[in-house]
Amino acid sequence: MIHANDIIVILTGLLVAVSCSIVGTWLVLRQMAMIGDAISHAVLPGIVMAFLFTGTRSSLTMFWAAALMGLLATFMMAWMQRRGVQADASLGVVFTALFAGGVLLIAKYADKIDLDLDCVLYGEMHYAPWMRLEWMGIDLGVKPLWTLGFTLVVIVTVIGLFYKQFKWCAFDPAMAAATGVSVATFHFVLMGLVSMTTVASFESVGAILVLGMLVIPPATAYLCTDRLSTLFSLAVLFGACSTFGGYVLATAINASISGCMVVVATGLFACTALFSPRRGMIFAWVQRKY
Amino acid sequence: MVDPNILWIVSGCLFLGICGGLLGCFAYLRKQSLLGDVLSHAAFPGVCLAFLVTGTKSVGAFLVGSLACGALAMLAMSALTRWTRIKADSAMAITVSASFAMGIVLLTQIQQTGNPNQAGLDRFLFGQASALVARDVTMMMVLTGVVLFVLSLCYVPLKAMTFDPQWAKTRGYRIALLEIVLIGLFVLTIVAGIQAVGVLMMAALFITPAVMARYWTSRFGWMLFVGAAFGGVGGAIGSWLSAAAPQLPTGPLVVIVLTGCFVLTFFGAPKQGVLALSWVRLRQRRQRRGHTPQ
Repeated sequence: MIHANDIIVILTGLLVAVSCSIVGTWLVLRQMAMIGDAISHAVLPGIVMAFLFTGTRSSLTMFWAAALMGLLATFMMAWMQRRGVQADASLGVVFTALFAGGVLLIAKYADKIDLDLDCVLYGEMHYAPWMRLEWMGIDLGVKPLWTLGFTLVVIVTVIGLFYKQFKWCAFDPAMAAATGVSVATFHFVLMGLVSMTTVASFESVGAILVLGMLVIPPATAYLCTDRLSTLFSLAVLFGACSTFGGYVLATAINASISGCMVVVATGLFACTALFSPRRGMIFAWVQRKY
Repeated sequence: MVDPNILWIVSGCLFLGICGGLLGCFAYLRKQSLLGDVLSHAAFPGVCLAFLVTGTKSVGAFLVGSLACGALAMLAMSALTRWTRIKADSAMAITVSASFAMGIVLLTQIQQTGNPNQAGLDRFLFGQASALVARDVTMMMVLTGVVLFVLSLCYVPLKAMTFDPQWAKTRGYRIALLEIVLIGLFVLTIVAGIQAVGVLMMAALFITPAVMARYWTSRFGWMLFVGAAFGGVGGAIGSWLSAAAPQLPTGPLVVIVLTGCFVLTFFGAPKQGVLALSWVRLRQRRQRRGHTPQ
């Protein structure tokens, strides 16, 4: 028997998966997957500080603080790279530092804020139906659905408006620059979208597992097609499948939903990487052999 | 009067930091800074599996589990980049998040088994040095001792592989074997630090000291020395602070101490630091103005 709350949890997961898949596709295409990792860790202190200053889980402040933190991390990495630090290393230094700061703040003010380390690690999707959005005393419905829905609308609008520019920046930055598209601006816009997705997904899947939803479904789709539009639809499809599969698995073995979502996504990815026609490992092996 | 127990823990973390700094220098120069990040995330499901199988927190089982999962992660990454069109960064991100997710699922399973030994397993994520008992610290010392011993044995071939793999090959060193040795040393250090610093924070112990060391010197020998020194300072001060304030997890404290050192280095290091560079630029500009005709 499916309860209304189950539907809300699945819907939350679906919104996370769809937003992450759309943004993550650009990360995979532009070979910046690890920057997604860095940003998902780096937004944590922003979230915690917003909690500390406002004293509530007010989404809007949290949104801005964390998105700013994500952008700040991007700027810091760019600055260090200009100073001759290797890209990988600059990423490692920045995200470990910011993440550690966030964890320490949570541990220090554990009694003041309604946020614990478990939530950071794997989110609280189980509780999604009980997080309500209230406005002037009126119950407006489930809060994660509102925030995630808003994020998805922003993502789709921004990417829909600047689809051509994003495409050029991803496939041929030199041409994009030659036609007058500011590659750096779109880089930071993309980073802003990644931060926003991470913040919106934070309460549902936690700060770390969001990377799995950002990278794994698009990478799976990347093994199936050469067309950008198909890539997006497949990424969203794989994200949705991981949500359903993850929910079923989580209820079956009574484990963390977000963890199971990423595990199912990994399973899908592993099958595709092995068996995908023309792009899978087995196909490559057969081709080499004969 | 310093508590001898705390002194013992702090010295364990000191050696841990030294190992992290040394190994990090090799990884940094081979442009594999995130190797430690991948291996420490991969160690997490390994540790959980080991606990599920044995039902106790034994370092030997953790080591076997982490080594197996670390090897699997490295194999998966190289297979993906070699045989499919997945690029190195995606392969790394997939490995990291997949192993972390598996670890989380296993951890939530373990927490339901009701095994009394499982208490404190979640501390392995962020580390809690004050929870270490004498036996744990002894194991840390043994593992880091092994790492230092093997490093000193393989110093010359590892150095050759780092700077000139082609030359090392003609010299007769087995590169593949050396790479496996390096990965093994990483895993040993991670297992040594898993209780004190935690899997999520181990990455910084490998990356930050190496980057700092590169700022202070251009000689490999000195770089190792400086990296080890910074790593040791971070480990020791971080664990000492954590012993003073037990509600704070050790891993993040170690990372914050390292980051503090990094900020000082980034601005204040001779020759390459931000301040030194702007000083040089200022002087050049002044000289140029002085030498202009008229």
